Amino acid sequence: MTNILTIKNLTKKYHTPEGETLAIKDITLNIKKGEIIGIVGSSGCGKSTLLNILAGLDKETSGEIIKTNFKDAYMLQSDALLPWLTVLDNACLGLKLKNIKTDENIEYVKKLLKNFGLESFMDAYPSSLSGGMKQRVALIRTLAIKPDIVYLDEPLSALDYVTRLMITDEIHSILKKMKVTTILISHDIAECTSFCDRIVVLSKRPAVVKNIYDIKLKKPSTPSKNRKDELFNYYYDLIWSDLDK
Amino acid sequence: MSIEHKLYLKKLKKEKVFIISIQILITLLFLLIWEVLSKYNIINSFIFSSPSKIINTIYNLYLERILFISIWVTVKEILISFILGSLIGFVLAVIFYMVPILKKIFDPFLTLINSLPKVSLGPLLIIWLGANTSSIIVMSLLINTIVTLISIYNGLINTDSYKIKLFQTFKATKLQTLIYLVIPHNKETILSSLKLNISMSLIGVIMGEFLVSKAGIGYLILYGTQVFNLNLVMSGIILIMIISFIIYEFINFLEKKK
Ligand SMILES: Nc1ncnc2c1ncn2[C@@H]1O[C@H](COP(=O)(O)OP(=O)(O)OP(=O)(O)O)[C@@H](O)[C@H]1O
Ligand SMILES: [Mg+2]
Repeated sequence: MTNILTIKNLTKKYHTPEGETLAIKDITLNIKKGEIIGIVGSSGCGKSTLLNILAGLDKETSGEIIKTNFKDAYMLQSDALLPWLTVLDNACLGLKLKNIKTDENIEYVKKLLKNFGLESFMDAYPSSLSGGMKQRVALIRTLAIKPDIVYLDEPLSALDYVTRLMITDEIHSILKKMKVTTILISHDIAECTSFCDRIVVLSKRPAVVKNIYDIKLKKPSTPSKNRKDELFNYYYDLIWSDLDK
Repeated sequence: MSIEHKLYLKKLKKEKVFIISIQILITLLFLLIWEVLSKYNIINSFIFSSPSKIINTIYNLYLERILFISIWVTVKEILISFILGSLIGFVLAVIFYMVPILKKIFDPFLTLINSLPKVSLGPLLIIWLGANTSSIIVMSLLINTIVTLISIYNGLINTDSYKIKLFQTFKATKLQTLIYLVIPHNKETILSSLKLNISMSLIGVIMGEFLVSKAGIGYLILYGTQVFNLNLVMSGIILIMIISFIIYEFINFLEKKK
């Protein structure tokens, strides 16, 4: 598979009046086209920082990011829906800001809303949605601009366990169907192991790459079924033992 | 609608009617006592006036064609300084928000101007601008613009940082972020600072009229004091109360409508 994104010797230091923080140290990573890659690491190690730099919200201190010609989209840790817009308008926000809110693209968003079971909430306001629905709208907003690569920062962290399991399958199937390259941050090793094709384990701050695992399950399927795979526990234990606690 | 809910609504309405009746009763009682006390000379009616004398004075102002001219002069000044003050305050708040370094530079100056009792600038205004309407409006602007600027600015900088970041993820321009996020996000703040601005304008205009004017309700009060016609002074105060009440209710109405 070809690389869609290459990260070379990436280092990030934050400067504040109190001093400097080395958040990321010399990370080198190839992201392959179409893969779902998970990033795990202890809290505060520099995962969001990495995504911020990839998405262009922050600037690296040194190193290089080689991007092929792609469109990217970033789903933040919080849903950040705008309370004064309807669900449909929220989902179309990216289209509006990029001046590509065409009839065709709106139709596409409506189709996504339907896929995620939000059809009847199109004209509702975010305040009337449950937490799980809000996260779905945020995800649709991210996918609406038809990105080639998405960065997902703990997309489900706000949800309860059961909702989380249910949505995970939906998201996984849509990402795979659309062949979107995905970089997923998650605190939940089981979620990551069942969801991703590869997993990068980062060390405590400053984040360096400790290990990269190709997840080769016996019978790869939906995330919820993957959890019952023979090899699931094997990977789970490997990653767990790798993690700085 | 269920019976319980109907009863509940009825109870709410009943309470409202009760409160308003009591309020009207208190007002009438106050006016009545005032009238009686001054009629039987228990209080000095020359200094304290009385409701009937005030009504009489206002009626005479009307006959002399002074009433509506005075009201119009004052209301016009309030409107002009309200509109100008809101506009200038809003635009400056947006500029400070968009260019944070400007805010940092001008911050101490703003504090300085804001903490200065504006009335002390009155004599200067008269000398610089003349004893006319522009002095009154500038006086009012000095009071209302900075308050508007500060309260709107404080709203703008407190826009949810996650939402700002969201806009950055879509590579929105600063202008897009302002129009589609920051301003709608602060609609309430902007409205409430406009509400505050109306009262500020009223204070500013009356203060200005005390200093320089030849017309308007502030002038009526000032003139009344000079010729020791306390009926006129009281009438002026009542007229100001009525004007500010109407403006206040008008804004409340606008606020509820949206
Ligand atoms: N804008 C900033 N200025 C200064 N320091 C920052 C800034 N953003 C992050 N940091 C620091 O960089 C480190 C990494 O932060 P980051 O948000 O990337 O962690 P994370 O791995 O995403 O954590 P979590 O799992 O809790 O979300 C932290 O120590 C944090 O305090
Ligand atoms: Mg994070």
